[in-house]
Amino acid sequence: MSCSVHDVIRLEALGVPTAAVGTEPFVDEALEQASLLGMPGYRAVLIPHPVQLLTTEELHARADDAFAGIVARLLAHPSLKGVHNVGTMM
Amino acid sequence: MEYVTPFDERVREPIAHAPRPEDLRGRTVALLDINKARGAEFLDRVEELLREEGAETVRVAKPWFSRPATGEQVAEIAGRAELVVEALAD
Amino acid sequence: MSVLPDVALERLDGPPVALSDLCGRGRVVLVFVHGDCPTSLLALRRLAAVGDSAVRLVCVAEEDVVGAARLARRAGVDFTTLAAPAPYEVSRSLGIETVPTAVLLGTDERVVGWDADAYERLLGVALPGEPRLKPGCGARSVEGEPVGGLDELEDMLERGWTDGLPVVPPTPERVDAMLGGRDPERSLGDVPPAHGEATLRRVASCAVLAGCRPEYFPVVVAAVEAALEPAFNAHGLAVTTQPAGVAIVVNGPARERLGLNGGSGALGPGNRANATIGRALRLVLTLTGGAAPGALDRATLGSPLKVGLCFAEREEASPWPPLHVERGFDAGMSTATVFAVDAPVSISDHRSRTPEELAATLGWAAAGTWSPFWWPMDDTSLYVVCPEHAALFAGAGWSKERLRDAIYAEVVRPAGELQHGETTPHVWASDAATPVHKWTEPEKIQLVVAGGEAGRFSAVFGPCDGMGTRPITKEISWST
Repeated sequence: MSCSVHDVIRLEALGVPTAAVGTEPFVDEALEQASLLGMPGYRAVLIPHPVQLLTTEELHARADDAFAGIVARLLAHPSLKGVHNVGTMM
Repeated sequence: MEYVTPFDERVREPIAHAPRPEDLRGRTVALLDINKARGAEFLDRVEELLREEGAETVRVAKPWFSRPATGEQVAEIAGRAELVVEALAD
Repeated sequence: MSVLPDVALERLDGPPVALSDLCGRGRVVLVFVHGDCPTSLLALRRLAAVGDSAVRLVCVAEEDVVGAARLARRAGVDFTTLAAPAPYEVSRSLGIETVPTAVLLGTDERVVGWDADAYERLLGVALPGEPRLKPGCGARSVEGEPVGGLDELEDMLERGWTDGLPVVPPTPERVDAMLGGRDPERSLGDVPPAHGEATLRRVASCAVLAGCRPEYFPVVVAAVEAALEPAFNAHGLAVTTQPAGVAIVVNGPARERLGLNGGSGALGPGNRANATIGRALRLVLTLTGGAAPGALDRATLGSPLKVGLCFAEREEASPWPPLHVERGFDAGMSTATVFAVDAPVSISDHRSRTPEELAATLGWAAAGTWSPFWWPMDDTSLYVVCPEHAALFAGAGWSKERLRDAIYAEVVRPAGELQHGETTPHVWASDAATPVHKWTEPEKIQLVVAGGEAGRFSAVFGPCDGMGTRPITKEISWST
């Protein structure tokens, strides 16, 4: 997760919106690494762990579940207050 | 008692998030595979869903999941796409 | 009824949330907690098991967002978690004095401490299990952060300037003595993943913390320089789930000058230079570099050698050129070589009489390291050959290259035997009869000599996979 966060923050600094996807146990690593790199408001998209043993169909289902969160990161500023999709996230 | 700290306590300059577009239609999204096992299958489905939303997609991959992308790699990706999804860190 | 402050709280998995946004969305219970309160952890674990309820739970942690995430992860909480750090505005405005405290938003109804029956009434769900009652702890809004003890050793531990063991407090006097007149601002580079800059001052602080004598400092500096070489990939090793540690092998006159141990017990405790030099490098990586276990260091199990590992090669007992000469340095130079290593496997061989037999033992002992089936590995295995074993190869006139080639050639299996769940795409793609080696090439097998005169126990360290890491050697410089 740490290396992905390095990549996406450099892309954001170049003006490219990003969504980094990892698994749930790495939630705090993603937050800490983003904060250390100067973007404490960055939020990764997290899916349930583990993934290595899933079938392809199950992985696709994970992607289906995560897609709304991915689109939200790409289109919405992660640090906006009261973002329109708070309702769905809550 | 004063001690010499082993920590680097400088605060990094904050980095602003990239400005976000209004929607995905017609945008080029890079699917950045960190090259860990199973990530490609996850990104296959994300790619499919993005295309259904009207986005264009391009597949890229890092050589090592265990290292941040190089500056050249980041610049190259930023030159090829308007949005980036990076996956799958487990 | 208290008035909610107009403040947005950081959320773990999305944009900040204003508490006022939560009002009017049905029954919402805020559960105030913090990470130093065992009752808070108990309450969260019990609440994490709640299924569907008419009431929505929101965890409000008196922590920064990283601390909130750690607490949520420890408790197994997957309901919304918000970070409400100092100055604890939200806690103060709602008069929170104890954690855990549950507050039903929009009412005066609350539960203080852990009270299973009261939570059952509040949430309308059963909460079986013991204990039913447990007192809470002082909220941070009332009691602040935990303060360090008067005892300076306890202070170091509470600050987290440690690996869990006591450390030597890095006073300015001790750090100056460690620096020995060197420029404290001289930088050895950024230490990933936190990218703290390894100035000599910070490296000296870590060396003092570790318990080094000032004369060890040049070795610590060389080891840090080596570990920060991009080809070593300190970043990947710091954040991986594998148990990656660092072995420092010292060659040349420094060994005797500093009293480093390459003899009996070389890989274990008991020698101050070995123990503290190894530890100093680890403290640079975990403190200056931020790779603290459970935080940015995500090793699933880790290993005992992550406290630190440094030993001298027993060059005098080796029939081969010392490691640093093999790697292109003059014999008279002192060097530190860093290897990325998993925990070692002990190799007993007390009965082999020929070099072929002994090479086979050494080779097959490594066969299961990392994995019995994930072959071939494009990663370095470091062998420590004990003097008795080295003497057998010496007596037979075997060069190190011959031994390396023999180990490589010996450890091979048909792909069919490797086609289990955890195996490489190469093995799956091969016919069952195709021979597959443990390593991609003989050069992945590295060997040094160390250990006591008596006893036929060598060792091999597990390789670190997928890191693209290479051993790095740096000269130890005595100049200030």
